[in-house]
Amino acid sequence: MKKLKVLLLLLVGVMLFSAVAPVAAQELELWAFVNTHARWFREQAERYADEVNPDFSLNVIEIAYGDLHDRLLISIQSGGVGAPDIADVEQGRFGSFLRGGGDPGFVELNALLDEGGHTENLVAARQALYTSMGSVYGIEHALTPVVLYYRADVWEGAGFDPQEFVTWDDFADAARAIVTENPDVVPLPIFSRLPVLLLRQQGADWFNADGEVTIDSAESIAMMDWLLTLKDEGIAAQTPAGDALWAAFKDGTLISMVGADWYGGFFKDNAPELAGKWKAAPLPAFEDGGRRTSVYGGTGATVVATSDHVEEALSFLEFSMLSIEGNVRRFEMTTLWPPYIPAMADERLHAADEYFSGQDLGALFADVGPEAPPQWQSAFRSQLNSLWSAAFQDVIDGNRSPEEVFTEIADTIRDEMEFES
Amino acid sequence: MFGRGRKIAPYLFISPFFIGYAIFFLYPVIQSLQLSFYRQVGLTNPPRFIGVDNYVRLVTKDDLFIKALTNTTYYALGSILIIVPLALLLALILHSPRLRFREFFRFLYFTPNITAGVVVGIIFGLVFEEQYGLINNLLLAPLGVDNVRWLREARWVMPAVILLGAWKWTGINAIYFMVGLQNIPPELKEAARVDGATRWQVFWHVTLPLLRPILAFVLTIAIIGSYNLFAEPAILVGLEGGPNNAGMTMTMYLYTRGFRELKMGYASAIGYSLAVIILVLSVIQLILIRAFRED
Repeated sequence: MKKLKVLLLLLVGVMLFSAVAPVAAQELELWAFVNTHARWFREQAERYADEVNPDFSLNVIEIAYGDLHDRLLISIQSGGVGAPDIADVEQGRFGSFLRGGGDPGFVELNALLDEGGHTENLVAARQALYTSMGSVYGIEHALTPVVLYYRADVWEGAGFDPQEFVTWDDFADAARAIVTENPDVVPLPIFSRLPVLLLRQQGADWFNADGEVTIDSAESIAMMDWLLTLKDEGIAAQTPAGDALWAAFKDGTLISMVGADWYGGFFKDNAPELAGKWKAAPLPAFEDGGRRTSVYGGTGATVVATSDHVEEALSFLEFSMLSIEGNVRRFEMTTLWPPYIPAMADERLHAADEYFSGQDLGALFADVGPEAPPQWQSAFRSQLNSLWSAAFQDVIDGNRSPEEVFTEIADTIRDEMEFES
Repeated sequence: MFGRGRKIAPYLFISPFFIGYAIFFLYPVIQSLQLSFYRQVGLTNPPRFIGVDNYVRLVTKDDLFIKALTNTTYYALGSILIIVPLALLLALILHSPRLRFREFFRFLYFTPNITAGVVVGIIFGLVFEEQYGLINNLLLAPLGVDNVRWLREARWVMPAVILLGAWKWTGINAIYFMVGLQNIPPELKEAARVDGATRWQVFWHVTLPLLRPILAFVLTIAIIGSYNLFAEPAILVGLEGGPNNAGMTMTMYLYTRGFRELKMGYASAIGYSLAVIILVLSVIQLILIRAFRED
């Protein structure tokens, strides 16, 4: 009887061992908040497993934008409980990790970038977003050049070619003519971040290079005032929220959009039925010869410091994010223009894009990309964005003036900076 | 040996709950009380003792806290003055023996309650959407009412959340009331009717007073639930509460300060303020209900 028991135990032991043994494979976890990035990461992980480490596998988890950053902050604060190995962190939320001036909980990437010779291959202004006191914690996914997306059938049908607009005045003149014919369409959709990205086109921002808040500067107030005059003229209007935004694109209400490179991928994902109707042009300038683009958004891939697979994670990021192949595939899959300079010359970036009426989007991004302005990181950017999001409706409805609101926001942020210093 | 075991055994049997309670509830409660007297900002900074500064700043300098408190109170009032009476009315209708398919209706009114808050938030986001939404297009447009900007105009945000609350909570509250109604002996109502009481008089002088324990329970749950409101408005208008923070509740405020801006000490102070408010309101409410008592 006893022998039988021992035998049985042995048998179970052998079975358990044989079941567990092959799990020498490395599974890493990655968090992303947009499906375009998630798709690309999954493909890159397969490529990495094929070419570099057959034991490698990557569990890509998609989490909603707000949740991802909130959960990541809490995980890191609790010493890495439930944290992934790799995480996408959006530049607007990256500052939250720097709050209080401490260690953000990510692996410092300086060694990887410097020793691999990658630092000079990355656009410095983009990397600055993920850098704090000389330490780099993220690798940017996109240069995020901003262009004017437009419904070619509508604009060209009305006799205008947005490719020929030089200044915003040209745009406004054409928009007025279109709206006179058809008052239901919106040539310039206004969203809460539009004023700051147009401000960047002018070389300014809501924070300056020293981290001081500048949302209450004269240029910033003037920008919002100008958007309100366009709204009063009937050529600009607020975008609907959430899914209604795509409904408004699909039913033809919104006929253009000021958006970064990633907006191209958003169009394809959310409004596939509009394929072949869109094109993109350089942003009209604020004056003759002025800058024809801006930057908007951006996301850095980070390695979480508590990961048990830091080396493998770094190796995977180098393979995917710091290679021509990875960057080219990302553009092909998501229209994110590479912030990785060696990839920019690859001819595969210039394929005709069926969604955008056969246009060579790469040529456009390559054309305006070198002009892309810098953007300054601040630990308070996320909070400033929150304050502005809450006040935006009052400003767009004309209940409160931009000057009043921007001054109030700036004062609040300055008070917070003082409280925490 | 046997005697000692007998003394310990019952405690061993009930210990899992208390161990769990101590680890997952008591410890965080005490820890966060302590934290509320500290300033802790960011991921790795050590907390610094600042006495009652957090509480002072909350009450004297933080307009957004006052706003969140006002918004939440607005919802609580809506919940007490609209949802609770509506639930009582619904219970009276569902209690009526003349109603056919009673079980079906009970089930129907209960289902919103078992739907996750996040799902409800997403669906109602579509319902309240100003251009394409159901309410504006299917209910208001046929009546000739202009589009209401439910989630875009500060003054409409809380009414929208209360409407959502009514959809979600009326059913379950009606079920509580129905249980109370079933426990009222029919003889009492019959006696009143024999004495010549009208239907209204029976309700006001017999039914309602006998429902008092249920009413106290429903009101207490409504107050606690109102001050803990989070998922629905957070999904409907975003964690910052939408236009002018009109939909920001106390718990959303706590969450954003604590987990988004990483001000753990400050968030703990908000949490304790919230606990005190709920406690005081519940006590006042219980006293009020008892004060109405005639016996």
